[in-house]
Amino acid sequence: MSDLDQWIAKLKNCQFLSEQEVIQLCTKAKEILISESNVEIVHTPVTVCGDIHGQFHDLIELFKVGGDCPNTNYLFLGDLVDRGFNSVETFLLLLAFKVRFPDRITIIRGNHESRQTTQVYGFYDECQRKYGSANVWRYCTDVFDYLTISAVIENRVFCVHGGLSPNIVEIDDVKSLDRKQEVPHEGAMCDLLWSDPEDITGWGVSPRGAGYIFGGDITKEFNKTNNYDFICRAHQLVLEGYKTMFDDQLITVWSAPNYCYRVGNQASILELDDNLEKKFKIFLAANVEQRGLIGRHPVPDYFL
Amino acid sequence: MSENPFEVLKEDMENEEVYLKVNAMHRVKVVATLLGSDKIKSQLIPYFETLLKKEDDEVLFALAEELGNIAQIIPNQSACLLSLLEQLAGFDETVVREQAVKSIAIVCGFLQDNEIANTIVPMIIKLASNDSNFTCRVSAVCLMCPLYARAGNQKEKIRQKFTELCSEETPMVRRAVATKIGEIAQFMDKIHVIQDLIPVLKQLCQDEQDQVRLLCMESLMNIAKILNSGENKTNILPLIIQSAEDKSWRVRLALSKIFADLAEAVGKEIADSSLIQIFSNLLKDTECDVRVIAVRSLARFIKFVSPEKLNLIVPLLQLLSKDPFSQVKQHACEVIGQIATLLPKEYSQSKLQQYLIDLMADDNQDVRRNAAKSAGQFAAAIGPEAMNQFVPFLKKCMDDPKWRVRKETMQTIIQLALTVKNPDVFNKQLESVFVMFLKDRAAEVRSMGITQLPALIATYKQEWAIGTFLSKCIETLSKDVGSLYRINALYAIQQISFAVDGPVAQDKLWPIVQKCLKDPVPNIRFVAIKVAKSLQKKIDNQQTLNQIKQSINELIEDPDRDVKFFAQEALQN
Repeated sequence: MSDLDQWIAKLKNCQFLSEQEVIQLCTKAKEILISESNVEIVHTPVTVCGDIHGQFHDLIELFKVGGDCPNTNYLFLGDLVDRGFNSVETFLLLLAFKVRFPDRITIIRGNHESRQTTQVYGFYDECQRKYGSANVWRYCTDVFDYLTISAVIENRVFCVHGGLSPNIVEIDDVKSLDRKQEVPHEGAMCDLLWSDPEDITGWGVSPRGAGYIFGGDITKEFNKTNNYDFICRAHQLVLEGYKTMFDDQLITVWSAPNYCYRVGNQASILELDDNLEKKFKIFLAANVEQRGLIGRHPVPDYFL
Repeated sequence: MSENPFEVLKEDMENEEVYLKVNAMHRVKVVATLLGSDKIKSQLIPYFETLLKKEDDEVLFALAEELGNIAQIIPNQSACLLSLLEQLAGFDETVVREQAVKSIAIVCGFLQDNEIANTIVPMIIKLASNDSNFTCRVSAVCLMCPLYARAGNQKEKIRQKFTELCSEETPMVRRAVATKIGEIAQFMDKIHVIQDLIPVLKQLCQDEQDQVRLLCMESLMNIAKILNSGENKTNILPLIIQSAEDKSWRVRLALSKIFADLAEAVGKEIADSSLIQIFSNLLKDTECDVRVIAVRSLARFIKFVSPEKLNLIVPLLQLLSKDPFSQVKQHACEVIGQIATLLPKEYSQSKLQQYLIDLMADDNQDVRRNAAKSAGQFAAAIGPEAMNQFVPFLKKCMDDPKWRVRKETMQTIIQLALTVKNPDVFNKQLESVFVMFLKDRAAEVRSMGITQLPALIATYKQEWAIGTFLSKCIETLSKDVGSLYRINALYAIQQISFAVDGPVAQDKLWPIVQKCLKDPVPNIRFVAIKVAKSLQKKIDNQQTLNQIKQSINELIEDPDRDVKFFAQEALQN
């Protein structure tokens, strides 16, 4: 136990672990994640968070508003890595929390938790830079394969990173998937991590080139069939931090303020209390003083 | 070491990589120690001479530094290093010659005064007279300052040369003079300062290059410290007046930066009669950067002026608190807080309070935050009776959408409560604002209330802690309040438990915690275990202690893993 507490303390200081420590952490994490269902059961009270994208200091701001783990229960909707400067520290901190307090934090896989995406959008390069080799990237992407792909809060709220799939009608359809693989290019698992809601009816072709776009009718049908109050997802940047659609049947939560250090957007977290009452907490990016000596990086070319 | 260390050095210096050569150069101290002073003179120094012509600036920079170290090895013979250093002092690259100057100063530390007068001063004069290389002349200026005091009968020569250099054509040399003139004045007799340096300073303050004029400002302050009030009035004050109206905003900014120190140096009489007026103009400067720096200096400036004159500043504060530039307003908040401690209470209340209230409602969150901070100083200054009109505005700040502003406001309220130490004031005005932390939306504000609780309990005692405050905590623990607030209230109860005795903990606090151990939310259960542990340490009634142990024991079978873990941990100790 004390090793883990040491790692958590180190990571909270924005210091990344040694390669040896990463191996140990990832091994422990896989042991825990392997027994999670494709549809992980989560209880209230819980605070739901959207994309973080390696913005470590903004994650610390998030904890300042939402409270520390384990006193606050957290559900992260994925996309923890890529684009920001500190994907390594961000992912390892949340993973360490997961290993230390497995019942207090749940992590869902996002479309960026994938070998292909992280080689283009920065996590691979960051590992190379910080560790001198691709080993840590390999250990982490192996852990990605074990992450669950959805969660249900008190049987009432369906949580997924992207959105719905034409191949998923009932929640059992998700349970029957084999998730322990690299994110496929198509199929149900891919759709759950890549789809977006849209003001249309039925299904449409997604401009992202993976997943689909789906309308309010699809959403309401899915919720009715499975007895859910609403769907909670992330995946799309929202300037105000959160957005509700389709008569509150779908909520997008976005937790990366000032996305890519330039968009200037707000971020939010969704606090769901014992009685499933919704409270959105807005927060902004951490100041320069809080970031410390982060200055000197050249702007990488994988920014939008 | 079988190989000759000198040979090793020479070999390393044949390397192509610059960083390897620099590393080798930094090991030269070892080589020198092993060679001994004779060989240093006969072999090492001539070798270094050859390097001067061909090596990179980085290597030479390292060399200049190491020569200072070598001087420490051969203190009595360090003069032999001077010729090398003299050459390095003339190099184009700034860092090399600055380092050379530093090393020369180290060498001079080992020389006798007469050696300084006979060897160093001529070297300085030579450097200063070098017409072809301006860098030598710059180094000469830098060397003159520390060595003037030891120059003995050569002092006049140095003074002469120094004043000559101020009329130089090359602006780099004039800039060096402008920077150093304040420093060298510290070592001169006052009469020479007035006769020789002041005319030089006057000339440089009217230099055509704004960079030169800018650098004079700091020197102005240093010289003002040496002169007496009368001398300052005649010599320094005209220069201040002139610089405050300089057409370059950079010069005005440099002046604003040191204005508080200037006021300290010239003394109250001049500060009252002239500086306030000049500073007012700087505070109204058209260039926003100047105003920002001026306001920053204002907070310190007011300490060096007579209190009666402060009412001349107050109308300026009205302007500054409405400045379009938010950084100006931020610093204006600080000034208002400070000046309130110096002005009479009624005056502050009638004139300044409104400005501060407006700033607390500003659009910019940093302004609001600073205003909340200064409000504490302000409220403490106007006294408890006047405070009750002011505190409602602080209470409004607790509705601010930005948690940092709320945190600062909470900090202010707590500071006020701790300094006022008046239960009446606390209960009537401050307590209701303080307890707002229990229901604040941001975790950081809630936990700040908890960390400050011990100090408040120490000031307002058990009576308050288990009286009104405890009932607020119990309110927060009711079922329909969010779990995060309930957890916070539990931590508050833990803090109360540290300050009360056994029977109180047993009667008032344990029943609450006992209920929480059965809360449906696991997080509350395991926090309750921690609080129960604290209670255990206070209570001595055996029956109650058994109850506590029993309740924790039941949680060993809890369905939640973390509750089980914390229960086991609690029972082990």
